[in-house]
Amino acid sequence: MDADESCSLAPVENSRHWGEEKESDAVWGIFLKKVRYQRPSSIVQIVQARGNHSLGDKKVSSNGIDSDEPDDSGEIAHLMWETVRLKVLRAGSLKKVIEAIANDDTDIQATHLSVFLATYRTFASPAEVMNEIIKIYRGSTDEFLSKGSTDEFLSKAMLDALNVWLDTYPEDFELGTEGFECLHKTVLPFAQDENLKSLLLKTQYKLRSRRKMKKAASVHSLRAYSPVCIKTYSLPTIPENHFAQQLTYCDKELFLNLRVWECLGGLWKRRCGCPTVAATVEQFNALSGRVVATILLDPAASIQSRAKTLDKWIRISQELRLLKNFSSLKAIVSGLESNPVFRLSKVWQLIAKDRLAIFSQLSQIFSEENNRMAQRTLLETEGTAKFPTPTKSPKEKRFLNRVLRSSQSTTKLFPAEIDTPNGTIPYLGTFLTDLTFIDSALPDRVHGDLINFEKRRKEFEILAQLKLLQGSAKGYRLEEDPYFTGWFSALVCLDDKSAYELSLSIQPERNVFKGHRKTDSFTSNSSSENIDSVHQRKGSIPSSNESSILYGVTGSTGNSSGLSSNIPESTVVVKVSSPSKGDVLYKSMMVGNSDHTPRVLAQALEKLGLEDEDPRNYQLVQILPHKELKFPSNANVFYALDTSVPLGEIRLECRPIYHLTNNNNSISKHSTTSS
Amino acid sequence: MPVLPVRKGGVSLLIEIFLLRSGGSDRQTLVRSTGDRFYFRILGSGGVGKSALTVQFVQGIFVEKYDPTIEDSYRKQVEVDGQQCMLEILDTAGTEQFTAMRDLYMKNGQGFVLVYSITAQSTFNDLQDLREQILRVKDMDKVPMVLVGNKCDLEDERVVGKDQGSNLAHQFGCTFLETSAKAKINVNDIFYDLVKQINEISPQGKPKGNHRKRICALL
Repeated sequence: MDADESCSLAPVENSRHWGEEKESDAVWGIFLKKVRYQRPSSIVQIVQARGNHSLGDKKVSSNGIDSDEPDDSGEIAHLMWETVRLKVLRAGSLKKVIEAIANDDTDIQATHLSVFLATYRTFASPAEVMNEIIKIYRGSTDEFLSKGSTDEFLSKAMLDALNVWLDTYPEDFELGTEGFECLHKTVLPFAQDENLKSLLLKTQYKLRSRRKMKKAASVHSLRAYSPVCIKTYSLPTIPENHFAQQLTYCDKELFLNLRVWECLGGLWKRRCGCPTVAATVEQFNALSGRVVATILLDPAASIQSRAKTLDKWIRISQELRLLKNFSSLKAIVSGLESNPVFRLSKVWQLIAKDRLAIFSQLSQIFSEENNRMAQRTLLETEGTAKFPTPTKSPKEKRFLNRVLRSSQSTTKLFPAEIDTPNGTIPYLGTFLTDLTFIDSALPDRVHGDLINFEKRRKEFEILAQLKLLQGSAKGYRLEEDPYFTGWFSALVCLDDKSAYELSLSIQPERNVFKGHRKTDSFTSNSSSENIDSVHQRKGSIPSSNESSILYGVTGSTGNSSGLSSNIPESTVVVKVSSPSKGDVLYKSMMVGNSDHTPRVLAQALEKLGLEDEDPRNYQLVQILPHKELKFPSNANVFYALDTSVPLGEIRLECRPIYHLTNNNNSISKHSTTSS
Repeated sequence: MPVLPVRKGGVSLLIEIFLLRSGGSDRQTLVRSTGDRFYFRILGSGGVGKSALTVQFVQGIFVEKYDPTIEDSYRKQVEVDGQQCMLEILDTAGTEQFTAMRDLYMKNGQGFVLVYSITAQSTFNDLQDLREQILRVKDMDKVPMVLVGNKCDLEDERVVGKDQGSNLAHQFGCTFLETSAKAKINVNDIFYDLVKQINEISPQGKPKGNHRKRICALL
């Protein structure tokens, strides 16, 4: 095991990996931790005592180990620090895994117990665990009866474990579950044991009150309501913030009811016994399906009214972003970007530029780039924050301000409701994927047939994030509107194929794609990798992932060329210079996806203080490490740029025409934006 | 920012700096070299072993620690026919039932791996629809694709015959492989084959129309 790895496995802060200890039914990781003690006296003085205190057999005296304090024997002896040896279970039999709950170090004990309770379902049933705990508990107390000595530490740890289990996972003991049966069968025979008896009583009490609470709370599910209701909404008139709040209310209920352990790769892959995950998925699909259906369904609807509906959904997504409901946000974005809707370029054309820009930013949140990095980062920064507070990038800040400005709830959220805490609802899919991968990547059993507890620890890291977010989701203060729920659940969903057929009936295929594709292609008279990289962005095969970093747009620059002209204005920052202005190194400026050569030249000259020059006397050239790329006089500069250079390193030069050199790297193309 | 252009097989390699999240909340700067990029998508029903194939291909199955947020878990540099390529494999294993996001996922893919398990007939039957969806979304008659019958180490549990697989591949007009992520059979071949297919249609991932011109430029 290399140093790097051992570091990451360190169970507690300030500890370092020492080695591994193997037993027949367990593998332990050994760590050394330096513990410092404060001197009880008020005099701040560094005094050291070495090696004369030992707080138990698990501890090693500090004598000789990296001591840097001066040896001042004149002072009163006081223990300043010592090195403690910690044992962390890596793998073991079920018995060992449970016994390991008892640990000298309280941090390790708490972590081990949390990991165990969150993940045990992947290697044992509740009954097996219950039996084993009682067995170990009985064993440790029987010892007391027969030998007069007890492993009180172990028996107490077992009782603690049972208590925490009942508190944190009461669902395991509900009436009719295996855990319930087992609890009564296993514990009742030992009812004379005071501890177990009180535990049983406590459980029964807890379960009763839980049942009562459940009855009191209404069942929150879209399908629980009858579609017949008194008050009804219609999509064009319902206020977007109300819509978003109601979706969030529903998602919040689902998320709070989510039993995070159901997400574990080993359990979810079987797809049964995971009802709370399934409910989340169902709600997600129901929403996406309705997005698609509302846009496509009405055969008599005009293109304008479809565009209105689409616009409405983007507005609703904006509100969802403010509510930090990433689940419904992703569902709507997926619906809008699903093929049957996304291909309707005539509808998208009618959407205002601003709105499209917002939409592309929203969809950017779920970019696949770098294994969904954008999403992960956002959750990290905002996950448990009360408000959408993008602190990291100024770009994101600007974007959010934009969303805020155009959102109708702006005044409500800021600043009037500034004190109202908000939660976060994540898109569960990313967690499910990560857990599926961990499950595939790490073996369940190691060293023969020992439970790989390291794997469970890794899984727990992700479950713990979900738990944390669940905690934050409690912060939502939303009221349910049953009329909304009834209305919404009555909206129709479409299956894939019929959605596509409807989409074709609205806008037939060949007029859109095949036609555009031709005009969209480049008619280059020479070729180089530059052109290739342009094709990377514009062509229909490649995925433009690179461009999405640069341009802040995914899903729109990438594929459907018929749409790329309508979807949002994206920009890229370039550095411009000119030989006519030798004293200026370069200036930075933005190039938008509708900027053509003359405009870029004019802007660049202005930036460089050459505003009096006639742009027609200049040629635009991109400076590349080994060559140059000349832009034709009316190219769409944004798309023609060679983006194989790193972000922020795109260099353009405004070259007076008389400076021209013979370089045949120039390209020309039909502009897509003007077509 | 360092730019180190290296000529290799007509492909320029660039060293790019990317921000990556490592393990916890720290951001880390990593240096990555890239050649030509290929974006692959792995599709198939839940439980057919998609993620196992990806993990096996990208980093080998015996990984001591696995972190989905580090780039080594989804990106791999390989050399196919003397060409350096960076393969980015997006595998949304675990979210098969979020059907609504499939379109977008397919849209950005260049090559597709359709996976079924030879031990489950239903996973085989699901692929017909998936393929149709890909063709619709990509708006093409044919896309680079490999049909994969996974779990071929479980011969005792086989319910989908090899001939069934090859017939379907014939119908799809794509390559067919029986693989085992567990026993490391044919795993790399899936991805190498996809790179070759893409190069056949359009060398180095470019649309076909450019092929001829490209050669001119090189000459």
